Amino acid sequence: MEKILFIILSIFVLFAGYSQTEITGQVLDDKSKKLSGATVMISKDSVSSILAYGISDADGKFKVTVKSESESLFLKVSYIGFATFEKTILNKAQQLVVELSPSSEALKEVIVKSEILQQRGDTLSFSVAAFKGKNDRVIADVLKKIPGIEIRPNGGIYYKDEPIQKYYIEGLDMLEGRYNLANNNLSADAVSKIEILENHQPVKVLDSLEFSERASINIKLKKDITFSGTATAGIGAAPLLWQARVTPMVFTKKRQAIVTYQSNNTGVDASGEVLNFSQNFYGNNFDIDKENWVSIQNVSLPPFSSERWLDNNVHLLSGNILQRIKKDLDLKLNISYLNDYQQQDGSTQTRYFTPTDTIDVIENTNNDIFISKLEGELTLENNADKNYFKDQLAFNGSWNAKRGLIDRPDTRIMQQMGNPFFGIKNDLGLLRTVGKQLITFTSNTGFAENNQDLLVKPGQFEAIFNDGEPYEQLQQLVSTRKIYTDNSAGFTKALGKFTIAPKFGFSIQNQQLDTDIFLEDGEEVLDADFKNRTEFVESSVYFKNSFRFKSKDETWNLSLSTPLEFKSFRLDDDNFEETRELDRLIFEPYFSMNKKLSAYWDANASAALRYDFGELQQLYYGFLLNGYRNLNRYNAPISEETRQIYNAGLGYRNPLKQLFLSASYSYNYSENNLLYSSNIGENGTTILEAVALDNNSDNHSFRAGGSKYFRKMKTTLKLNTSYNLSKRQQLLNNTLAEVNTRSLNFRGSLDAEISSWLIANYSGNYTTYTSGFEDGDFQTIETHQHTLDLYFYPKDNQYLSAGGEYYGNSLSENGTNYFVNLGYQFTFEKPKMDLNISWRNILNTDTFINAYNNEYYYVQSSYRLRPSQVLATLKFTL
Amino acid sequence: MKSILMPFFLCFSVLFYAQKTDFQYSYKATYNLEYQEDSTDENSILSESFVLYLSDGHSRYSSLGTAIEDSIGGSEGSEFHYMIYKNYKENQLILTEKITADKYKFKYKQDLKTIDWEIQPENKEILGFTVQKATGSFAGRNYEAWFAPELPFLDGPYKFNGLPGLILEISDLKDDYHFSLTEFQEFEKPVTKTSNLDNYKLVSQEELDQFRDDNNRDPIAAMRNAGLKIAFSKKEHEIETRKMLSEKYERRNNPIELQE
Repeated sequence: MEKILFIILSIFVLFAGYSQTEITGQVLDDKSKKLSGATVMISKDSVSSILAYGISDADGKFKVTVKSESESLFLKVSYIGFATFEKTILNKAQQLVVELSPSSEALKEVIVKSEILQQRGDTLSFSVAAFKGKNDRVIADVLKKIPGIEIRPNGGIYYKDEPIQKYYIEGLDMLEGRYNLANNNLSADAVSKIEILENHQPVKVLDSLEFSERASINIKLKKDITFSGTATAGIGAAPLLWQARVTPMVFTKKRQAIVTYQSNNTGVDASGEVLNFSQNFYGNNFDIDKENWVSIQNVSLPPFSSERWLDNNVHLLSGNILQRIKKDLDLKLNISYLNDYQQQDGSTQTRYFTPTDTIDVIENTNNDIFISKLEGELTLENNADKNYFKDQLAFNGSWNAKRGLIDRPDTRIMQQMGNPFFGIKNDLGLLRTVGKQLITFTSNTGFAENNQDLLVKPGQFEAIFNDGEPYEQLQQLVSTRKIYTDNSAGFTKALGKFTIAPKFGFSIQNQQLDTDIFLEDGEEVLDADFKNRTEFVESSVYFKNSFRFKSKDETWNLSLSTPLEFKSFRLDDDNFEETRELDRLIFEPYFSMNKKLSAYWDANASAALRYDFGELQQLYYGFLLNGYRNLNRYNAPISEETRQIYNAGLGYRNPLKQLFLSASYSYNYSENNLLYSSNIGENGTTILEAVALDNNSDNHSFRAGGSKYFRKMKTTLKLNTSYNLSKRQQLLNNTLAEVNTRSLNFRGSLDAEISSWLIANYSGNYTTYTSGFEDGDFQTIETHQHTLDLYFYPKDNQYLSAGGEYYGNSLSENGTNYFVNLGYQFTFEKPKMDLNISWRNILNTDTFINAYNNEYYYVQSSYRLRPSQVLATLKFTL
Repeated sequence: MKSILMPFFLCFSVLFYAQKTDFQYSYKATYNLEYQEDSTDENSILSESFVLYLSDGHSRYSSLGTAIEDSIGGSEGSEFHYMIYKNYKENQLILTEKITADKYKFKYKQDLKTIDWEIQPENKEILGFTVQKATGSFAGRNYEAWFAPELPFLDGPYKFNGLPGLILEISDLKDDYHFSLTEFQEFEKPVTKTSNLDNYKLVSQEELDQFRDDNNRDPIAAMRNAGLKIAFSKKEHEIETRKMLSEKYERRNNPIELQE
């Protein structure tokens, strides 16, 4: 150790004989710089405890007052990085200068229990035991309590407002996006941890090359081999109601399986359980979705839970298996079959406004719907560090049939519709690292076939089909086939902070549409105006250099994307010589920015340019009977729409005052080369055609809202308003009209915690919708909605909810609807079961009456509801 | 095409940087806190780890969870979300806190000297360090602290400081809050922690405490007010979750700083 210098400048003896001694001085370093924060300690001797202490100030000066009878004192001066100075001094008032010399001697280290932080990257792990409440049964109950996690009404899981990317169980992705099945049925008791993988890149090859902003979820089980599942059984009246569901599942290290069977006639939509939330990471321009070319007349559905209006009889069977063949290589099979029979009863009264006339149509509707649907997917996925391979073969088949009866004041019309559909596709994705860059190859190919027919008795559009005379029947046959392929190759390269990913590809889709109309006794309408033999070829050569830049520091957030694409369309029809063609080079930039102005204020703005081109559904030459009173055709060039979208907003959030305000404005302007012409006949029959005429439309929309929490009353008040103004051109009964619509909406809600066992919610909604032509408004409809819900918690293991609702509108004479519902739940501790009793529609309101308007018509409808019913269900884990 | 693209690419050259400060620390002390969450329930003892990064003249203190959040992002499920920066040169203490899923950033400042310590003659040993007792009162509680003169830091857990040696153990006389050192280490190379205290809005301690209380009482409403969308598949689920959170809020009735 180095020699320590100690200089006593001077000694003053002031209060000799007193036991209180004041020692002052200054601490300096070896270069005579003043040291502040040094500790000066005085004790009786080198081993006894400290009697007094002082800390050196900014000038290095200190003052210590000691009470001691001892003749000598022991002085210690310490500072980090310097050797401790120690010296025995006399118990006398004195002034000292202490010079400390640097020391590299380390301080003593201790560790009691090692708290080794694992390099967990972006993984957040939540112990289920910590979040599980005593009433929680399945993993969804626990998941919804985790901060940042949100489960939307359809079951979609969002983390920090973004949909999750993958739902893994023990690191395996068996369900390919159908995670509701596991989430709603896997017992929370079988799960040890929920891991949130933030910024998760599911493709290992892309890790470190492509940054992902989205999160995935991994469910960690307690045991290596887990059997789990739930079962629900319910019974009710009247008439006899049933609800059954059993979902067993098994998980091992190499194999996972979930099977479910469900059936009910209580209005529960079973298909939600097998909804697929997955998103194709390599993008796909085309798909094999079912298209509806014809339909039967429907009644608009009530805005509340389907359990109060859906008259169904559904069976659903689904099986999902995953087998891990070897490391990183998985084979998956997902199959589901759904069968449902639904009945709809209701009536509608529609009034059409044309520049010259008003037309009323009254329809009583009675529909029977038969649904039979089979879907399957076979996937082989190899997700290794250097290579990625995924091939997915999917098929989709449905055999749906609908029967509809329309009673009108003077006639009864029968509709019968069949729409069998079949589609199959194969999606292949291949990624491989070559040196430091990544080569990507994708190929998607599919085929789909639709054969739809609509039979209407008696025949409509008499003036067109039977010289104005009544006739027996009208039948529309539609047959479509489509085949597509989309192939691309590209590479991804990381350049410092940015990643560039140019991609070159081509896609082609060929669609064939054949339609024919038949009258009674199979007599075919031979006029080429009522036939289609259309072939539509859509091809695109694209170079997408989606260069993305994101500056995300504390106050700015900018984003810009600039895709470029060359598109080409070609449409031929055997019955028409002329070919329609369109070639376009499109550039669709999008720019957005967000700026934090101060602690409470922030502003955002965005701008975008978009192009939309006609789909085959808006491209056929010959008339097609879409519904019993709708004839459509698009005997015009390929539609081309250019849209400009602007948006700006301002927010104020002051959490100290619990006051939150926001306002935004958005403007859309679009230019279109086609104008749509509707010819509305006396009995509501509508003939829609497209006319080549440049036109534009615009839309302004304003929004403002605020919320305030009143601490003393434990109540939150929220108020929101929006105003929308739009303008577009329309040909109505051969007169060009500019249709203006305005809508104004006010919403308010109050949330109050009245006591620890009673929570009350009220919400109200008021809307006016006005439409009109340039020269004046023709209709304003006001609608009101009020809802009051009360929740009682008499004991921990039970709760009672009571709710009342009111819906009303200014148009319908008897347009007021009242509803009351009650629910009660009791949780048994042993065995673990939930008993749920619900009494819906206590007032036995038989119909829901609603009114809404659109640009040039309004509709009043009434929908027959389920009667007052009581249902008891028991839910337990397997 | 080039002429169309140019204005968009020009945007890239406009980059925005915020002022950031790098703090370097050479030592780390880890404490375990045992605290009674509910003043009416003696069995409601919870514990959590805290880290105190130390250097010449300044320090940073936070729960381990908050420290991890700060370095890798995300939420670690800590019950204490603040960070305390002590600056001995400016004789100032700054407490910063991110509230409501990190949407709001607040700070308040106070004098470093919070306690008039009285040195007591008792000694004992903690983890091989000789420590001496000191007593003092702070924010409605009387404390007993044990400091190690061998470790020449004027620091300690939470806002405690000003003794001639690091505080290795401190508890209030009711033993509602009890901090004890579990680890002390010196880094081979100083570690750098970046933070931008200017991004935190300066408020009073009362305002921050009130807001934290509002947030704890109803975190769901707080997150919604902050613009996060939180939905539940059924109203009953929401009520159930709120119920659970409000029970937790009622249990959490024993803060370290009492109203005086």
